[in-house]
Amino acid sequence: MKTENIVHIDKVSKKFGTTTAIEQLSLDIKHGEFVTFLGPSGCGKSTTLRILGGFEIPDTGKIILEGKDVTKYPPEKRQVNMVFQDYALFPHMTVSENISFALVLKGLNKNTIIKRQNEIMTFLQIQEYGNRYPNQLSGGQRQRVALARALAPNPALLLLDEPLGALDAKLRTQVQRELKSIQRKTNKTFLFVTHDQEEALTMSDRIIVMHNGRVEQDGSPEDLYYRPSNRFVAEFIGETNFLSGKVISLNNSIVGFDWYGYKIFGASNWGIPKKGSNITAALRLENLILSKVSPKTTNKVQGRILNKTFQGSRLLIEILIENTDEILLRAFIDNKTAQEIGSGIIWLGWHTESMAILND
Amino acid sequence: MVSRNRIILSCTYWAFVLYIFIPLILMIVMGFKDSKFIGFPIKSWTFDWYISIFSDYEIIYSFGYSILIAIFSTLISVIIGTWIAVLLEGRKFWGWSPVFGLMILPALVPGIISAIAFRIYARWLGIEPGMGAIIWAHAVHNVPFVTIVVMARLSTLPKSQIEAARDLGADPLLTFIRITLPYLIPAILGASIFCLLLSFDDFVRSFFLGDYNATLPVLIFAMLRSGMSPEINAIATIALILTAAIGIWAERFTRKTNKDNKI
Repeated sequence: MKTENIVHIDKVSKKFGTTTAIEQLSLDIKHGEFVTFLGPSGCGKSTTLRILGGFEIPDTGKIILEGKDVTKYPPEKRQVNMVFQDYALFPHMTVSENISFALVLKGLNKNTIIKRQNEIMTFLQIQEYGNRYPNQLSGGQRQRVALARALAPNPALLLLDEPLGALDAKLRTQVQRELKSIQRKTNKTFLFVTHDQEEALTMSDRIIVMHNGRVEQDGSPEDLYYRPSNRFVAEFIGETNFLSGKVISLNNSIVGFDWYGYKIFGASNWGIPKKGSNITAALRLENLILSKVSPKTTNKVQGRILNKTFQGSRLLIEILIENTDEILLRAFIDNKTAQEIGSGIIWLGWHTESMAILND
Repeated sequence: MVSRNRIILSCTYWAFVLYIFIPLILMIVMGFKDSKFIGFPIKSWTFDWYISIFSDYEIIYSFGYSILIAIFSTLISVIIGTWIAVLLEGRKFWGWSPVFGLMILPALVPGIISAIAFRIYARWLGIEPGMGAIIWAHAVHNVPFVTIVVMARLSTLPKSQIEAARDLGADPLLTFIRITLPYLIPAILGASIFCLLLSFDDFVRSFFLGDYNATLPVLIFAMLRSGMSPEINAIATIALILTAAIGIWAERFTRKTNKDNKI
């Protein structure tokens, strides 16, 4: 049975002792998606992956994999493979033996095994390491072997549990790009777990932000970055200014609110708040436009530059906003703009759609 | 100051080495003395004692008998000991500590007491004294050593290895055979050598549970009653060389496999 959704997680909960790892989690994952579970440690992202892999049995709820209820299936009975955080390569087997491990267990004939093994090793460019043992490989090579081993049995779903954590920063960005291109080429569904927001933004088609065992937001990297639906997501990803005030006007998804006497407009992507209620809006630091003259944006305020911090390709500016209780807004600007505006009193402007109204 | 500490340390070390090795060297030297009286001065040297033990049927027989007992008892204790280790390690259940304590007990009971207890128990069960009874007693005594060594190794096996094997399609039994067991080999080998040596060396249990066939230590004991002879030195020297060689080989093998398995 071919359904559009490869995975359907239905109201799954899991507790370890008294701590709740996942609470009433429901999700659908489509074929060929690169989905990242993002969140701080203990948010339930790894547990979700382990439940899909069959290493944990949920307390309640169901896991449907390709239309089949696999909730109680052990790992060896699932068409799912995992790349472990420590790679978990078998130290007493060579690279080829590691890769063919699953193929041998499937009872395939020798020629098929060798063919598939060569295919996957060529694909991941590790064909020359076939006879080496894992302790004779570098971190990046081990990572590829782990990936090759998990892909060899041609799983419906590939689970990746923070597999880049052990690599150094430079290698990491390279592997991120590779991983993404491997996913495109194989057209497999990748479920990736990380606590690194940059990694998630770079690679994913879809990011699921988790916190305390619940999904905080589920959407594309752009959605999450520019249109966070709540304070947790806005804070967890990127740098954000938070502006709070009372709702004074509503026009479809455009929410106007009063912020220290300024009338500020933002966009809501989750619904419409009540008129007169208190809301918070998130404003990315790089979305602020700074100038000496009044900008042509919907939202504009005046302020005095308090601090400039050089950060290489950009500057972090702290601005004390006029007519407020010493409210600070932070902004990223490039070095050229910084020279133009100089110091003293300046204008800050931003567009309605670059400010997200939060759901809490 | 550092160099003075080093001198003191190395003096202590060499004093300790001499303390251990002088008796052994004396024992070896006396095995080549051309006189029945053990002691200095040595006027002439000979291989006669070695020739005489190799032509002594009783000595050869008891040597083989000891080795056979050592091999069988080791096989039994390795299988049972590993099994217990796998059952106990990494598991939590009510009463784990008492179970672990009981498992250790055979190694702690004084040899003489366990020998007498085995003798009484064997009679009660109707087991005749002899090879079977000795093997049984040695195996029981050695199980804790295997379990402790194997448990220590097992505790360092990353859980992800087991999970990876399961993930790739191996059921729990296959995972044990293909992943856990190879990982345990150095520990099992080390424990086996230790068990072989313990069994080969054992006097009390073999003495109490044996029949008219003597193991090597029992035979040496019997020979001693008719007076110390350089023959005994010769036997001891051969046993020493064999056990040392096995011990050194096992140690090197274990170290090498440990290094290979490290990632």
